[in-house]
Amino acid sequence: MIATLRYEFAMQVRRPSLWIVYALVFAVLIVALPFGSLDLNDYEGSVGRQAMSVAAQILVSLLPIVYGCMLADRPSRDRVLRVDGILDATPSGRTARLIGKYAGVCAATAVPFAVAYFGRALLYAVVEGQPSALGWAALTFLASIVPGLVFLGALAFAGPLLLPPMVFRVLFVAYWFWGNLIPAAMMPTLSHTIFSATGEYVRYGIVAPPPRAASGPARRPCSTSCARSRLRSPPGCGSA
Amino acid sequence: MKPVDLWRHEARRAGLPALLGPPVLAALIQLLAVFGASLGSGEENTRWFPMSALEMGVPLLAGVVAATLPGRDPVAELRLAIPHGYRPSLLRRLAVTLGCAALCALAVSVTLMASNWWTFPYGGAAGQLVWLAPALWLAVLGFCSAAALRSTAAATSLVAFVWTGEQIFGGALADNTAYRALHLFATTSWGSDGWPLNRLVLLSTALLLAVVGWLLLGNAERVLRGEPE
Repeated sequence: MIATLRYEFAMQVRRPSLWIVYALVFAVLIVALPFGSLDLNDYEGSVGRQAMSVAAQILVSLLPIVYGCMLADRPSRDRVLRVDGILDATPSGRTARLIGKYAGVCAATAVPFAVAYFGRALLYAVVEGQPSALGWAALTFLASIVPGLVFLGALAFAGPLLLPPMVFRVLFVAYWFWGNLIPAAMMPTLSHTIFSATGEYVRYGIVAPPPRAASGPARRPCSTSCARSRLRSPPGCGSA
Repeated sequence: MKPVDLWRHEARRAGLPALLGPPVLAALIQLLAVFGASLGSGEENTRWFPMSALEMGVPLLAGVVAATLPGRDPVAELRLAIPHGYRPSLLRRLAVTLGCAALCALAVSVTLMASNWWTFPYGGAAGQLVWLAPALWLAVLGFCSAAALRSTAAATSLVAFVWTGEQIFGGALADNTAYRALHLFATTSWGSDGWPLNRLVLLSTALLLAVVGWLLLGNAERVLRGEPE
């Protein structure tokens, strides 16, 4: 299992397209959303744990799409390359190989995610002179982001085995939008519930309270919550 | 081999999911409209959902399908060696799948117009740009990304990100003039204000991307090399 994990991790983390896609997405995030600004356009940006929570919210809104799609072709790779028979002939068990592949691929695909998040935390800690932000970042990442990634990894592993990969990718994107991003006032959704993979409950309940901009009436024009609160909603629904 | 056989072959290569997806989506949109009406949902609200499903659902499907098409040929070297080359085959495959999606979207929009669900100021042939412009743009993006990155997963990721990002950035960048011209879902985001220009810019940029994709696929060595695993 460990050997499979190490090999799958190395194979995925050295994939150029993984880094290219993450880099493109990250560049768009910096240009379009306030991820690059230190106060994140938020009233509470000067508080380390609040800033880390908002940074996590911005990243977790969009990067999991890349995470899930880049994972989805891994489970069937051995079969497509016709090496599954050879692997079956090795002493390692199928379960061990599956667990190793899952853990290795998920960890490798989460590396650019972690680099983006902890890079932001490091910048904040140095510029604002708040090293405690690194601790809050680690706590937020482990408690709020990692559980969602573990779930999405399992979904991206199981989905292409049950459905054609193309159908799974379409449904995965639809699921992410419907179940994690849309305002709860729009339609019945898993978004903003305990079943949402964005880890909102943990982030707001344990790590940091909701940013004022998300709940107060005096919301700033482009607060950090804009990613979620400014999603288009049908007439008559209002915004969440 | 007759031309019709070539088209039939490419339809088989595209696969059943790519051909069945659009009719299923079309049926779901119509069911959504009927279901919303029967539930007594607010009229304006109910009208918004089929329109947004048409403007957003068809492009997502077209983009993911187009991103999946290149690089699925196990004997691409043989294809590259035949007189007509590889690119016309891929174009045929793309035309079959996008044509299927276009027919289904056309059927949905005609139904919406005929049943007075269509309240958008632009109707008829111009109204088809509601779904055609974003669908072409995302499909060409998927096709071009797959040719550039030589990876279906990476191309699909980019399509998925752009599709989701457009939902999010549409609100945050509503005041940005350049973004308004390039926003994929301008119909359901902002209505008819600046809509013709938006559709024109989308179609023009889609053409540019298509040329880039065409040139990338012309590099036989690049096509054969595939993605480094």
